[in-house]
Amino acid sequence: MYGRHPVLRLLIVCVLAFLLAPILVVIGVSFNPTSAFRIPIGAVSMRWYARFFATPTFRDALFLVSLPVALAASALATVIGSLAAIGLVRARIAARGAFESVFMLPLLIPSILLGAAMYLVSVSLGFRTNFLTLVLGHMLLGIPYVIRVVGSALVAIDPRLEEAARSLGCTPVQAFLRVVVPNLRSSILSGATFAFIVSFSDINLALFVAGPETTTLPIQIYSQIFWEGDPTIAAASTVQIIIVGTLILLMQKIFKIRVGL
Amino acid sequence: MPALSSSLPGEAIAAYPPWIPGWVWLIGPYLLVLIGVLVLPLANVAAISVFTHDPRAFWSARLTGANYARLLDPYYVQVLVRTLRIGLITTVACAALGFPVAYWLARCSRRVVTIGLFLIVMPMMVSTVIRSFGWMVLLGRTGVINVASEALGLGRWLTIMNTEAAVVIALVQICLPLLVLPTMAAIEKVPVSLEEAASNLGAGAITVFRRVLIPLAAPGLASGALLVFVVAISVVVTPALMGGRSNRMLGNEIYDQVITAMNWPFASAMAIVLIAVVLALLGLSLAAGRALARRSVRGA
Repeated sequence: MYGRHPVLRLLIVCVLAFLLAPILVVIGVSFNPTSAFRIPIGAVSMRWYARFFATPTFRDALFLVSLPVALAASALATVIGSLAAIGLVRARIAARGAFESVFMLPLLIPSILLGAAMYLVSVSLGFRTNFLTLVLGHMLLGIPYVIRVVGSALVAIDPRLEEAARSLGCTPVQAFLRVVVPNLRSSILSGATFAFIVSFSDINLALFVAGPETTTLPIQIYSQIFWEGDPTIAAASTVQIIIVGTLILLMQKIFKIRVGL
Repeated sequence: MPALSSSLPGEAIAAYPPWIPGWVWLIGPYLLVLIGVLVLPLANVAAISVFTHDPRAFWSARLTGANYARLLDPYYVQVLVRTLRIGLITTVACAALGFPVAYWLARCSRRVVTIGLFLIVMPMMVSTVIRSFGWMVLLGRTGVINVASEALGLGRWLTIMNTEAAVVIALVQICLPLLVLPTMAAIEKVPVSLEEAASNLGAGAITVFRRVLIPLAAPGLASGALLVFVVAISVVVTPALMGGRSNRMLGNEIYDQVITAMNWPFASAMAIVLIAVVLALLGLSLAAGRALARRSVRGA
């Protein structure tokens, strides 16, 4: 009832400005014609984008590491997470609540610890961390998001639809596959998108697990900040921001999913 | 745990298709992943944390408490205290800023909520390194704010970089959505009529928030606060970029010991301490949730 209170509105505007400030600043700097980290006033330039796509380290980090890793991690997370969500909601298992808590663990265990733990294991076993280590780690981080989205959609489906299908002659499995799964499609796609973004944006796990041949875009950005690189960093960041923003819009507009945690 | 539990309608649907004896095939793959990628590697860390550091082979299997004892060194005590302090300040700041936003999202129209959620979720999903970089560009000595201020003839007055405050500012921005989203879901379940009833009985806006909304949304607020704290005490990139040499957090020490110093046993001991803090808080929040549920049942 206080949703339109002027004090609340002022506060909301300030908090949203605070949330968006660092992102808008990065986007601004990426169009700066000079090599200073400034927001351009007047002339804008695309030179840092040209530099981004012309620099092999940046280009490879995006096209050969970040995108393929995120696609693979998201595909695996979607399959494993959707199955787990169906099992969690539909199977008759004891201690459902306990399973549920355990299933959400990757959200609560700090991802730097997962990264460090995976790094120690792979070096102990005698191989360097590689593409697969990164995919496995990112897959683990993405699964809880898939379970959340698919699980809550599954709970919301009217059981009478399935009853109707079965009374018309479907076997239970047919009823599930032909009635329930099509209704889950947009949720599964949203789960996949979430898992993709989680992998694509991750830095904490990659910090430990990414090797010289598997430098993801966030890692490349991080090391360039340390080497005090030029605004190509801002262009690379803006590319990241645009991809993430587009995917979230996609979930909202096409999949009609209420994005959230 | 947050989220799903509240939305599961329990046994009515769960028991409905009696044809899934193969639940193993459904949750089995994920259980294998959890064991292989999460449990075993962490158990390995726990084991290494009580082994002896050996510069030639990372560690040798002689039991020792030295790695944990080294954490009592004043330097590491200071790092641990600083980490917990930054986590606490970040959590409180996120709760103070996030609760009004969550209320606004829970009570606004469907059209506005789509835009509002985009503005909250998009920053949440952008890599934390990019957001920290944005703060560096904004707050730096020759950053956007100082340059603008100089152009207005006010000079470069902002000298916040490489302080704990800079780390906290960046962390609040990183963590805020994690608090807003669960809190929003909790407030949505509170009927507006309760606010109206309290208001009709003479409560002002502050009283309605303090006596009605905050207690009823407490479970969501608590699970959001837990997420914020866990993320805030386990960052590496943000303190490295915003805090300089003198504001290092536990994550920075773990990173250096694993990657640079290669003292795995000591790094493992620090990792175990971090996990212990997280699990203790998780247990505490579960117990608090159960106590709260019992009290509300008795009250009803």
